[in-house]
Amino acid sequence: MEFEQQLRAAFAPRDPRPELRSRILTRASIQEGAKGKGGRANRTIVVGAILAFAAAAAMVAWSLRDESASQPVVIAITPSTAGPTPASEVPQNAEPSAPRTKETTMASDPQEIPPAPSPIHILMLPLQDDISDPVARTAINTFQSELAETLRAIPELVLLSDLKQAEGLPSYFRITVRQLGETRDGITWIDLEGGEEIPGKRRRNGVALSGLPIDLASTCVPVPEGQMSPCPKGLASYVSGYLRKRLFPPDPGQLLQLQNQALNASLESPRRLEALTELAETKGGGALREAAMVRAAINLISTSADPTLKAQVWKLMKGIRHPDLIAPLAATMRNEFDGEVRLQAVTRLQEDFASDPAAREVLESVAREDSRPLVRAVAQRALGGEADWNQYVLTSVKDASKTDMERIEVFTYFVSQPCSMAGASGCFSSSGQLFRSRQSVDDEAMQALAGLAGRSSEFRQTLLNVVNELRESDRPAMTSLLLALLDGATTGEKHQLITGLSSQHTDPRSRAALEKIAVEDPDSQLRELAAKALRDSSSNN
Amino acid sequence: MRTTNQKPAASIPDEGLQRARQEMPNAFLQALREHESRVYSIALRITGRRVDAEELTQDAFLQLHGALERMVDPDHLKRWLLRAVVHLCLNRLRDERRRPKLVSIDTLPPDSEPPATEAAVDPLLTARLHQLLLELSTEARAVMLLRFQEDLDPSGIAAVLDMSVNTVKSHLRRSIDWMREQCAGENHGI
Repeated sequence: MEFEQQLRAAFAPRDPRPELRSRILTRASIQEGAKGKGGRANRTIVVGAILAFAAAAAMVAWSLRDESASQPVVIAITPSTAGPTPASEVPQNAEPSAPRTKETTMASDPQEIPPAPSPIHILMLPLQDDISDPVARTAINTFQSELAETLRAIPELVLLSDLKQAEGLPSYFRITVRQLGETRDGITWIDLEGGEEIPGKRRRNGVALSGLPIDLASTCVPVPEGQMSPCPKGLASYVSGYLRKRLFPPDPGQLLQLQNQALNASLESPRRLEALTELAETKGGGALREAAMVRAAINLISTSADPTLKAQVWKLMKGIRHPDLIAPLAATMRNEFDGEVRLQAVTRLQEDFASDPAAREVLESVAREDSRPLVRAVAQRALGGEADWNQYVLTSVKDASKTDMERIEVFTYFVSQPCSMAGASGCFSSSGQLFRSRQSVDDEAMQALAGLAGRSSEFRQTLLNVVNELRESDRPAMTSLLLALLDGATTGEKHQLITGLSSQHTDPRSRAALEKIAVEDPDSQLRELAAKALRDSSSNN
Repeated sequence: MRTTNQKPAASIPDEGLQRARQEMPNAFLQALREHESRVYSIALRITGRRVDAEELTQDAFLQLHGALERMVDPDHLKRWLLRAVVHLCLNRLRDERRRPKLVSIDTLPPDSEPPATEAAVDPLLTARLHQLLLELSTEARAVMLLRFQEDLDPSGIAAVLDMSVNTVKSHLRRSIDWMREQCAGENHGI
């Protein structure tokens, strides 16, 4: 091989650890948040939001990974004598309106479950940052000790003391902690990453938590499950629970308990829904794909009278694509009075079963006959494609004959249900993509949205998200939308809007709005931000 | 800007994957997906340390995040990113305190790249070339990577690095000759 070819081969790009993408997304989201809102709000809320967004960012990163690398980890559940509820305990009136087939009965035999990969090895790396601040170092070391203690207490987990112990293992989980920012007001902020290391494989599953607070002075008081306390022990307990759920192979005992809870028809419906939700959130979400869990969901829908619960169950079934779901979905479309339940059901048919002949038959009927226009439109989306759907959304937004709430409903649904077939013609995976396509959007639609902006705080937030994504400059209709959103905006919203207005250089309305904020706004940060936007705008002109 | 020293932002968007997708500009997600490997590889090969490479990759993408609306087209974005990461790396290495340092493999995971999987690639030669690259001057390293990792021609490299085309050619010629010479006495079939 020529030497230069050798150089090319040697220097072919290499993939970084998957956690890096999570970190970048997390940091970018922090930057986005700081850019958009600024100021220092209630610390507890901030921490929770950071954590939630970090989790979301990690999930985004997860979803962006190569298909080959995103195979869910095999669920490791060891069947026990306390198996799922026997079939006799499940009411036989499951799916009353759906044709019953052999496959759709509520038989809940003990499931075929692979053995647990026991034990689970964990290597917690020592603190590697050069931290000179003794408070920060002590805080992080204390937290790490507490986390190690908490993890040690879990029977199937084995803590490795160094890398050498990991040699020869088929896989292990690595946990790293880094300081984030400076220690202020006694609180040390950290990033925590967890990843699965499989020798010989470049891709590793991972999670990232950013902005975790450690406060050595904080006393550990009991907090509700799922919430965190900044005391080292409390934080360790929270992190341990999070890792247990999102990173490590699921706890077989807990999975079985949740499955039993979901199957147990003698329990109240909300408790069964709670179990299904937990199972959906468990690593990989695979637990919900089990046939028994699909039957439990169907049973819950068919026996509950609560439309909110039924809609929620259909939402949880997103992506499950189990053929047993088609008949109850069809039954829901035929018999359900509640429009929201039908909307969620038709969304499942459109997203998960559009290519199934039986489902298409249902969709054709729904597209013709359903009483709710949005439900009909979603069915038509599956049949007619994304271009028709996009057109429907924009036409609806502009349609003055519709009520404001109908127009808002269509646009909100559109934003929350992006096209899942990325790359297909006319398929926009986000509202920003659609709006960047000048052929699809016109000023009239933008003006219509501006007119609807003040109708509800939720819709205002939806539009703010859209505006953030658009980043269009020098478009009068966009200025109108920004100004409509500015009317009655909170301080945080104004932060976002100033950025948008600053990109409307040539519109005098934009300049006037910025000048007003720069002079009159009670918030000094906002005044400074607006003044800076005006200066930047002047220099650009 | 060292992002690891950033204070957590005071305000963060709401939770949920859907929300995250909506709030993160789609162009940024796409750029991250498309260019993450090349940016990281450049940073890793110039600095020689995974920790630095990850940090600089983050910095480059955060800079991109702030400058996204100025990107004209995908090619502009790619060149912008290359330029950003190379200059971040060069700046980092100019600081003597941040030069690559040896650490015990008992305490840190290895920074070396995983061996190439392609059958035609000699893993020993690949490792040797990675090692030799780190012995070049930082500018020469950047030139070599832009040429052989990114396949840019000398004028493209010159634009990214703010160098004259002749300087780029000179770096390339001398670096290739030197690396070939170093490998010549070894059994790599060269």
